[in-house]
Amino acid sequence: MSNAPWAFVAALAAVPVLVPNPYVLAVLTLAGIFVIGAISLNLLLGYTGQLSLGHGAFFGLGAYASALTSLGFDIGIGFGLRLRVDPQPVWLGFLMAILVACAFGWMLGRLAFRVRGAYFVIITICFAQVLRMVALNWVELTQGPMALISIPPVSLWLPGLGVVPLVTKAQTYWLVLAVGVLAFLLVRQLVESRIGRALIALRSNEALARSVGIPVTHYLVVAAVVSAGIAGAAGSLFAHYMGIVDPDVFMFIYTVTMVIMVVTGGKGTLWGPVVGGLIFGLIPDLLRGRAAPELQWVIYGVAMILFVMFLPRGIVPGVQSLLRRRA
Amino acid sequence: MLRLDGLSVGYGGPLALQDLSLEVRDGELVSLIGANGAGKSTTLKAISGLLKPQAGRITWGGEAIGGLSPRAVIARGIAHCPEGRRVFPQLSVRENLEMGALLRRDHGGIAADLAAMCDRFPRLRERLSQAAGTLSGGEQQMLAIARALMSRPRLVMFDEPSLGLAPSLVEQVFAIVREIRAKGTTVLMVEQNAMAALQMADRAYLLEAGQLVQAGTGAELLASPEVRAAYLGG
Repeated sequence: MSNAPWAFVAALAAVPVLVPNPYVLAVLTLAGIFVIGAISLNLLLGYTGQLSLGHGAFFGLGAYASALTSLGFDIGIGFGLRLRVDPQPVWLGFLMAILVACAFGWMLGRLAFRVRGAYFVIITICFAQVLRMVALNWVELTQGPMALISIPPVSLWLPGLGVVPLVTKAQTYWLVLAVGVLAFLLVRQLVESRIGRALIALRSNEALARSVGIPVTHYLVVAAVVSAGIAGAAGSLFAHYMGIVDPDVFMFIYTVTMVIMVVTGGKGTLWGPVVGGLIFGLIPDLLRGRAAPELQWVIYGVAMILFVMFLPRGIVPGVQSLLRRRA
Repeated sequence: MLRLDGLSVGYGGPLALQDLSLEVRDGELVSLIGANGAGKSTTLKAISGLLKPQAGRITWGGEAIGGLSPRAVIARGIAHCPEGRRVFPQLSVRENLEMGALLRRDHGGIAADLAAMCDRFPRLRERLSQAAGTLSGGEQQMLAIARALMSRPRLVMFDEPSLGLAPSLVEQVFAIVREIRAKGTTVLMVEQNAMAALQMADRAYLLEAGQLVQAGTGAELLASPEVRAAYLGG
């Protein structure tokens, strides 16, 4: 078992060599970006049990922060003052994406974790919608519905080659894979630490967790910050991969897609969002050209219902318990 | 050493607890008895910091602790063994025990206490790496008690320790509570089984509808006609 995950990563890394088809790589890259988003959401939804329906906001914040840093901007900030940022290298944009998302994750966490359940869900939805409105209407900064365009691709310093822009599909694919592996390892590290045990404890019984002295709000905010940071990184990858960002990144459907990935894959398991993310990230593209457009979403929906009906705890826990029963 | 003076606590509606004053002295076993909704659990939650008092004072060894966080209260030596779901089902038995020692930093002492708990409750040793949710009800209660002791408290508060347990286990749990007190830890216990609670207690308080109606030694309350009529079946 301990080698299986690395074999899986090696197999994924070999795909561009074995299948040098740009379409396949493009589809896998986009699915990979959403898997990273699902991994980040799983930390909140799976391990703390708090359903954030504004998670796409961190993805969008990352996309905008990264795009704006690398494109530069020049805006009025009132009192006749202007804030001007010259175009910066893309790696700085990537870092800014993480930082900005973390900062907003902290703010939202401090605000929203005063309440639980439906109230928390509503605050997170509002958060994402407010950001969408800002992105739509702050035209001077975001170009509004005209979108930010010509976002440069990620460039990387490689030994012996200097700084190279990652323009080919295979290079981008490997970058997303690398970030995905890092995100996975970070979440695993956190979950298997003291903090992770505290999160699992408070998920199952918050009153008991508080009564043994777990600083519940503090740990929830920590989880929100890390989760937001990873989602921001995914958003940054998305922006530089697509080359364009518009306010639609804040749309509810992105968050819902991530929730579907986490829930069907198995929330609160490390591999759940990876498996769910790959399945529901790839289904739309696998169906394209094979089924009529109207039918595609019907199949998507039916597949989702079947998973939830027959594997209510998710694919990963379901398969694990099946294997255990066999053994 | 623990004193409540005029404590009132509410959940946002009418007060669940009104103007309660009581004290628990060093080394005592004190029982709170009363019907459902009398305010017994509310009292414990207010002491442990899970609920904020609306009025009144809670003092512990002279220090006002009303309104402190649960974390701060445990750090001062008060452990709370709440009612209902008593353990963290997804965590292992060992992790549950370690949760009890969350605020301690003496790793050697924690390991020693963990071993001592396993000696005291051999069933737990056999199941150390098993998820606590797979234990039987009785085993979960033993685990909850052991977890509370892992913080090395000077005062342990038990909320309905016998609730939902088979009669033979109830006797066992009460024996453990007596043993804890015999070893010098002060005990404040909420219990529906009034007969057992009064027989064990040095002193006891009877609550009704959020108010204190009677106080005295365990024997006095056992002999009281009102208590006999209402709680001991005549």
